[in-house]
Amino acid sequence: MSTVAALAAATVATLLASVSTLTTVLGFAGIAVLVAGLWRCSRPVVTVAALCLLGATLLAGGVSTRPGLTLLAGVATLLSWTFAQTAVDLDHALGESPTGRLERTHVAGTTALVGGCGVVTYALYTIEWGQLPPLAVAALLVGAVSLVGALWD
Amino acid sequence: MTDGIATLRAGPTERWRGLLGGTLLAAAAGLVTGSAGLVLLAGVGTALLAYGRVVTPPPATLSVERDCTPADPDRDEPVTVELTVTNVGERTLSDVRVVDGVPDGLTVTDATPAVGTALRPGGSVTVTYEIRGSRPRYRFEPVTVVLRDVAGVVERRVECPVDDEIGWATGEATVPLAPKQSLVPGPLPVEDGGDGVALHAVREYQPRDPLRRIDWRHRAKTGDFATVEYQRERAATVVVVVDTRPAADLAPGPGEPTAIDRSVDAAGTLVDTLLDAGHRVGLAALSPPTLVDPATSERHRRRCHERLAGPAFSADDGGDGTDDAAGPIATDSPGDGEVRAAADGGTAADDTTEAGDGSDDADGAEMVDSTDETDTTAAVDTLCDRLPATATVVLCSPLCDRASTTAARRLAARSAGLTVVSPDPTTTGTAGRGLARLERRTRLRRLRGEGVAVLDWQPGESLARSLAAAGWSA
Repeated sequence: MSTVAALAAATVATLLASVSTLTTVLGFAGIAVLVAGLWRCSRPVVTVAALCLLGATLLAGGVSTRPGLTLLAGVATLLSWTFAQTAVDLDHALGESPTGRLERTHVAGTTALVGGCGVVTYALYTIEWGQLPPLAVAALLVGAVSLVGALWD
Repeated sequence: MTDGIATLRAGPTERWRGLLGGTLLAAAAGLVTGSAGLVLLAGVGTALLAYGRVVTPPPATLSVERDCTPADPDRDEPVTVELTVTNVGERTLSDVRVVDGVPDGLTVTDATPAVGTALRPGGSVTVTYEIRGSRPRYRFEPVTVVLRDVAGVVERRVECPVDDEIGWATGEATVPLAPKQSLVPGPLPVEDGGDGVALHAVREYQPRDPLRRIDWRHRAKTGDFATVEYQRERAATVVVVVDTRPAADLAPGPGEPTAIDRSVDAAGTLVDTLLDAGHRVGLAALSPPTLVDPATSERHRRRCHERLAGPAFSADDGGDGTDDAAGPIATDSPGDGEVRAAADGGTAADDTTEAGDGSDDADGAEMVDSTDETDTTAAVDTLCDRLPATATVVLCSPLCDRASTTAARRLAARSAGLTVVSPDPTTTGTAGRGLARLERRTRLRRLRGEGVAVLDWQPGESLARSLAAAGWSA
C-alpha cells in the first residue's frame, strides 16, 4: 500500500512539474530511483529520489506562473517521500507481517495532514489582503509558524 | 493496561530529516525567482516542521495477552500462539507495531510473530503464529511494541512483559549415566538412533548435532542439512540404589510422602526407562543392604517392581528381617535377577520425621547426622562388593545427613559412575528447618563440585518434569 501510494504521489509530482525538458527528465529520474529504492528497501535511495522530485518542483516553480500547481507538486513530493520511507521502515521492522491496516491509516492520515497544510496555506494565499502583497503574506506565515515551533520547547 | 510496561524510547524519528533544508531551499528559490508557489511550498514545509515539534509520542495504553495451544505439547507437536494486543486508552493509536518475544531456540513454522496495525479505543489485534521446539522449557521474552503518530514523526517504543513459558515433552525422561565410558558394547540394539554402525534413519538437522553425522550428500542434493542416525548397540549395567535408612525417612509435613516413598517411586520409573532403553538394570536398598542383580527381561522388570512394593524398600519394615531379602541370599530367580541381602539391616525404621524438625535435635541442625555413619559405610562397602565391575549407580537419596554423602562418595569411587536423584524433604518455617535445608543444598553442591550429576527433585513436582527440566532426557 505504501509502495503504491509513494509511486502514485511521485507520478503526480512529476506530471505537475513537467513544464520543461529538464524538469521532466528530473521527475522521471526521481521515479526510477524511487522504484530502485523501494525494491532494495533503502532509505538513502528513496531520499535521493525525493531530492530529484524536489529539484524538478523547484525548477518548475521558478518558471511557472501557477502557484497552485507548484504547491501541489511539492505536496506530492513530500507525500511520496514519506510513504516510501514508511514502506522501507515496515519492511525492515516487520518483514512479511500483515501491515495493511497500518499502511492505510498512515496514507490517509499523512495525506490529510500534508494536504491540509497545503490547502490552508493556499487558502491564506488567495485571500485578498488589501495593499499587502501575497508574497509578504506567505513570508509572514512562514515566520509565524517558525516562531511557534521555536517557542514550543 | 498491562502492568510493567516499560518505555525504552520516546522521541522523534528520522522520518522528516532533511525537511528543514528542503523548506529553506524552497523559500530561497521562491524569493529569488519571485515564485509564489515555491514560497507557499516553504510555508507547507514550515507547518510540517512545527507539527513535528508539537506532536507527542502516543501513550502506551495497551493490554497484552498471550495464549499457547496446546499448553503442554507432545514431542514435535506444533504450538499455536495467539498474541492479543488491545488499546485500553481513549485515543486512537494510528501506528502500532507489535513484535512478540519468541524465545531463542524456538522455530516459527507458520506466519510471523509480528503485526502492524491501527487500533481504535477498545480495539484489539491478534497475532497468530505457529512454533516448534524441543526443549522442556522456554520462556517468552517481553513483547515489543512501537507506537507512532499518524505521520510517523514521533514514536514510543515499549516492552510489555507477558510471563509465559512453553515446553515440549522430550521423550521419556531418564537420568544421565555417568560417565559415558560406562556404556559398554552390549547385545541389545537400542531402538532409538544415535552413534553406532548400522544405519538407523536420516532426520532433520538439529543444532548441536555432531558434524561427522551430517549427511553431506543430502546437503549437496537438496541444499538442506540432515543428520544420519545409526542404531545404537550399546548397553550399560545400571544399579538403582534406594536410600532406605531411617535417616532418609523424612517428609516436608504430616501426611506427605517421605523421601523414601519418593525414592521408591523414582526407582520404579528409572528401572522402567532404563530397561526400555536396553540397559541391564539392577536394584538395591541401603538398609538392609539388598541387591537385585542386573538383568534385562520382562520377568526381571516385574520382580523389581514387586521388590519396590515390598517391605525391603519401606522404612517401616525395612530392617525387621521378615522379607525374603533379609536372608543371606535369596535365589528365587536364578540367572536372571537374584535377590540378595548382603547384611542384616539392623534396626527398623523410625516413624516418619518431619524434615528439619529434628527428632534428635530441637533445631534440626544435626537432625539426621546421628545415624550410624559407620554402619552406612559398611553397608555401602558390602553392596559395592556385590556390584558388577562395570555397573553405573543411580542413588536415590534425600542427602539429608552426612552418612548419605559419604555413601554417595563411596559409591562413586567404587562403581563405574554415579548419578544422584535426590527428593527434597526439607521445608522452611523455623530456623532449624531452614538450616537443614541449607545443609542439604550444601551437600548437593559439594557433590556436584566433585563431578557427580545430582538432580534436586522438589516436592510436588513430577519426576519426569524435573528430569526434563534438568535436561536429563533420553
